[in-house]
Amino acid sequence: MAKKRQKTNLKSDPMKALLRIVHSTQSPVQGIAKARSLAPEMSLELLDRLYEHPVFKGILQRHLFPRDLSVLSYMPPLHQSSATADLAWLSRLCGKYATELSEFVNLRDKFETSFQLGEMDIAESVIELIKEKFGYSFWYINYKFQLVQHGHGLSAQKEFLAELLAQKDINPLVGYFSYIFSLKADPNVSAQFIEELADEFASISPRRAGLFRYVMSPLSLLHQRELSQVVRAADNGPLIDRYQLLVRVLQVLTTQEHGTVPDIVSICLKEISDIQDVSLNTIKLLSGVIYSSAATQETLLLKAYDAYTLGNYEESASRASALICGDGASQPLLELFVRANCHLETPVEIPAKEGSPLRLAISAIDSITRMSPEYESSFPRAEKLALNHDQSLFGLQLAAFTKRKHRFAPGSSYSDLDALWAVSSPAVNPWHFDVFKEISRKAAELIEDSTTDSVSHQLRRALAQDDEHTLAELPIPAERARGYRGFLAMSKGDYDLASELFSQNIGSSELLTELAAKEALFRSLLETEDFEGCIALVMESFHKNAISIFQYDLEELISSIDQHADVKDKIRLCNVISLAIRYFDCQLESKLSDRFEDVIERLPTNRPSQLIQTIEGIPGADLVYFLAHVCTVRTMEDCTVFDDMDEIDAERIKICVWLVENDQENKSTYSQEIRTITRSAKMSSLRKKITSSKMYVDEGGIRQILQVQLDEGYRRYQELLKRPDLNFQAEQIALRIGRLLEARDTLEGDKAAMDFRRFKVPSNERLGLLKEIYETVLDRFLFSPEFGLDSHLSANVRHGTFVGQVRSSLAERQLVTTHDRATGAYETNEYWLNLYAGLGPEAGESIRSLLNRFATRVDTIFNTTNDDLLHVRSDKKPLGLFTFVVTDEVLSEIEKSLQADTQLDEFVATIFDAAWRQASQSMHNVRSYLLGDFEQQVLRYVNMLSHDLEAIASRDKLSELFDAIAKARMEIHTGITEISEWFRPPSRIDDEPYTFDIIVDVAESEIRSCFGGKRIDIEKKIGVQSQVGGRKVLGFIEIIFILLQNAVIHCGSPRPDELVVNVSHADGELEIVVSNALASDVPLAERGRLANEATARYTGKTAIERVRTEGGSGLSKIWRTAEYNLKTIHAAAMSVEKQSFLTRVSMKSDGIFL
Amino acid sequence: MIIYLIEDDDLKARRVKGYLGRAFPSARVEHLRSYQSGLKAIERGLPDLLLLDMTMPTFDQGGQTREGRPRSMGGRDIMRKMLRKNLVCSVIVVTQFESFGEGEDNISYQQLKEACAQEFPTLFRGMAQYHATSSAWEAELNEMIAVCTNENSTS
Repeated sequence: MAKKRQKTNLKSDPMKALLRIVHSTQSPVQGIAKARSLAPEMSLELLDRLYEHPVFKGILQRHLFPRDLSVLSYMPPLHQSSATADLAWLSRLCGKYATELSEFVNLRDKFETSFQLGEMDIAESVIELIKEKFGYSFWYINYKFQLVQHGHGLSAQKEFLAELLAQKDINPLVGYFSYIFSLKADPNVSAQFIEELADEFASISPRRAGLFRYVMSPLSLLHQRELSQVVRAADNGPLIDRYQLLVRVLQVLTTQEHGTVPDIVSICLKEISDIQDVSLNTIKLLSGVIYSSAATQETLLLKAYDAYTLGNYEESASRASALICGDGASQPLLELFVRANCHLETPVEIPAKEGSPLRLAISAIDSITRMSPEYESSFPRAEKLALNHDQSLFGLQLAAFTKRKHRFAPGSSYSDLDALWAVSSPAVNPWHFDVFKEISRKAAELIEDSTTDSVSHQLRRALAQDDEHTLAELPIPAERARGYRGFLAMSKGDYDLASELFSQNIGSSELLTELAAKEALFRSLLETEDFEGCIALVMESFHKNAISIFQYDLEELISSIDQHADVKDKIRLCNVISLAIRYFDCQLESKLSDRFEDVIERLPTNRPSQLIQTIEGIPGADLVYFLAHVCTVRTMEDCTVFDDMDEIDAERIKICVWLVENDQENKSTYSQEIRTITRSAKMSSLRKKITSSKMYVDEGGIRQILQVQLDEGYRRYQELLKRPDLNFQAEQIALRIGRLLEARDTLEGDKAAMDFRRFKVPSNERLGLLKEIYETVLDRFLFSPEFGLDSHLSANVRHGTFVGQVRSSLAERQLVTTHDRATGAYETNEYWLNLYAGLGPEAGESIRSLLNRFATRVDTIFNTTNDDLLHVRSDKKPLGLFTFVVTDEVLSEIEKSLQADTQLDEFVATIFDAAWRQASQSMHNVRSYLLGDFEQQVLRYVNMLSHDLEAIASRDKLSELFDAIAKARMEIHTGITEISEWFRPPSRIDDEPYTFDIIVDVAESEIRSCFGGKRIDIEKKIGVQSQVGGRKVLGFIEIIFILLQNAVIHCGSPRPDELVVNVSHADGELEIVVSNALASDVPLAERGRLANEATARYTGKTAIERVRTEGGSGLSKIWRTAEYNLKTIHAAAMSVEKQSFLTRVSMKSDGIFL
Repeated sequence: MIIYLIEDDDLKARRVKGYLGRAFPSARVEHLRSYQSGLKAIERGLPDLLLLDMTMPTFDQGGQTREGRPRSMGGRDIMRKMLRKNLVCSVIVVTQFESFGEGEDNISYQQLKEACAQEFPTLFRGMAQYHATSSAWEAELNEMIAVCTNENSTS
């Protein structure tokens, strides 16, 4: 009923009805919005009526000038009015404060100019005056952050942020944006980061998306579809923010439709016509509201452009400088100033402070214009400056400059940003004339009429009208005139003439003329499909100045060649494709690979290095580039002419060696590449050595400890070999005993057989002796804590390596999580649960449960294999897969190799060979187990997981998880295959020398392959240049691996922090220190106590006792390695210092290095 | 019929070969394990049918040699090189993944299928999705191979 009555009232006395709505609503602010939405066409009258009422006027202007930060907020109305009504409402509101806003504009321009010049004291006092007069605003907070940053640095800026956030009742949105403004002011934060943040934040609240983007980056309004939404979202905000927004919206609206300016722009401009703001002048002109003849400033601006056109570059730069310094806020002359200076031997100095935004902007524009080496880095610098000043014309011209792809020549395509810059700038700027023509022909005519005497406008008109005659008569420098004629020829389609004219200018001594000519010539050649010419131009430009290739559209060139033609010079074509990849991030690797093959297929040996042999005299720059950047390992990997990676590496090294000699400028790069390839190959071979020497027994060590027994046994055995009579006698005795036992066997059946086994004797005495010797050696071979197989199995396989590596692919794919060592409970698999949160809690719980069960299952089989099976079978480890039974066959096999003249060394070697034969059989069994039952069991669990997941959701809903399972399945197979290769007799380790940086890198890669899925950052400080060789290399890798493993496992957090490996050598002592930060919840005293206990156990006795067991710190393994592998005097200590854990292993370096 | 299977996953290869042995007992299946060994085999002699995995190493894994860079689109690389060298035979991609490539270059199974059809119209005959836990892919593959065989016999 109430709704119906309102409608009736609206018809009879609409204004009265609207006022009643305002009155009757609990929140007057929302009441006003509701009334506006019901009758948009009456909103301006409503505003006037409300302003007549002191209470409503008070409500309306409550947020316009927030004296207190707590008042600053934005409250978008719940009710929507029409797009035009909202804009008109805001304009009328601003119009009511014309005096105040004129004052603001005056102060704002003063502030901007002084800030740009680096006059920080003035800027500071002006901005505070603005705050005093107009209260808080986002405009104020944004600039205040920048001022503090500029004047006092990052720390002060962050303090200012802290102060703001500490203020009572600060609106959360204001707090958030203050944080963003602080980031914007931070020189280390890029413009791209802020823009991404704005996008992300805007997506959270679509209703306020436009406003968010505007507050963070005002230029984003260009991409806003419904500008009125932004205006509406800013309702109830501070007046100066809303005015700034209104001006920018009107400017954007002016550019949006070609040939006309929307009516709403002129309606709004009329509402704010009393506000003195020169930034509105051009849109006033374009929308037909007002036209005033060029003011003094505009005349001066035009003179600066005219001086440039006439070639009076010093005058142009001086005039531009004066205007920028006098009124930088409204004079967008940065680029003109830079371009004029580029022509001068002694550039005009601009009187701005060092480090001021103006100087920074000029420096960036200069680098980009000249295409200097700082070209690429200048873009992000300019973009950040543009972002920080994007409410001002200064920022706008910078933004337009960085995004611009044309030179204001005929045929230029103007972007939205160009247009926005143009309509925000003084109308007489000749560079913008073409833009104005597209918006309003009438306005363009008015500009023409007022600039008839201006030579720069005459030039514009001549170019626009293809008027070669006028162009020829204009008193402009000859080379530039030729360039303009070239553009005219291009616009008429006379590309031959254009190319000829541009070609003449290429040799110009004026850098800008030369660059412009090259860019235009490229386009002209492209139009005529002279691709060879384009390629030659690009490569010649590149060789002269690498940066200059940024002015060529290489992607278009390559695409055109693909479609239309074949190119004769394949090497140059490869080079151009390579440049497109390197400098333009084009995805053309496959194309390069194909064209590279075109080149090498023509060579008799299909090797690019053959090109080197055909060179006579000084090699050309194109060939050097081709060999350096095209003939890379990556490209060669695609060709089938190489048999393996070693051949490719060898080819690349051959090329690099030649480049070192023939491209002196970059020789250090090539030398480094050779080192990298060599190093990578060395690391790879070292890792293979590790793989092939995990099953190690130190035969020399065992022989040393069994010296006496072996000598004596050998002598006795030799005696028996030399005296067959003694042996015959013994054989007869054995025969008799055998027969005797056989008879008993017949008489007493099973019992006799048992007795026979019990009393079984060797078939002769010599064999008995051999058995005794062999068993003694075998015992040491297997169980010697210093030298034996099980000690190496413990250190190289069971101490975390086997489980780590076999589990690694599952962890890498997030299929298993780590479990609490005390409780055994698994960490929740946040990765998949977060990814599939959208499937609901029930599905999430099922996924969690399945992954948990999977982890439990696979860990059980991993741990059982590690703890029970990968051992030498004994009473303590009855399931061990390394079984050694001394049978007659084994002994007889040894005997076959022994003769009467066999020397002691041969004798011992034969004994060890027999032990290795038995070990080999066991290793074969281990491999069979791993590749058989073990792998099948693990894969069965993987398949069960996959199968069970399908019951929760379809494959497409869990596609990432299913892909991860598929990848893990493949990697498990590969991983187990690799691990199974550990179980082979060791290959001989050569004395190839290795430096410690490679040793540490290999230890690091071993650690990474054991802790897949865990982020491990290691800082390496290697202060040792000397090299080590042989098994010592593996010993050092083992030590560093154990130290790193401790850090990763015991750091107390999911990833080790501040992990540092420091290797140093001084005064005959080599020291390896590994340190890492401990998590805050690690009890330091307890950890310190454990460290002390572990250090105390670093003795021979304890180490020998513990060396074949796993778990703990691994210090016993380090002790054994240092003692028996490195064979040096050594010490180790663990300690807790502050919040860090340190392990220090030191040793005498005598005999360590090669 | 000569069939090349380019596949670095031995488990998958074993199952695909098992299926081929049952479905095409007279076919001779050659198993290659990398981009390089696969492409070299194709250059030596074209098969009647090429079954191609998508992700693979550059060189064969294992032994004392290095495998080069991993190729998330190795199958596509092979087809591209076949086109360049004008080596034409029927190609069916057999993959077990739902998506391919990393980061911004990541594309779905369907997108890859469409891209291959567009890029290699003379080679690409289809894409089958292999599952380790089911054999539904066999029927899918069977159908595609039948089409290829018909094409080969009529051409």
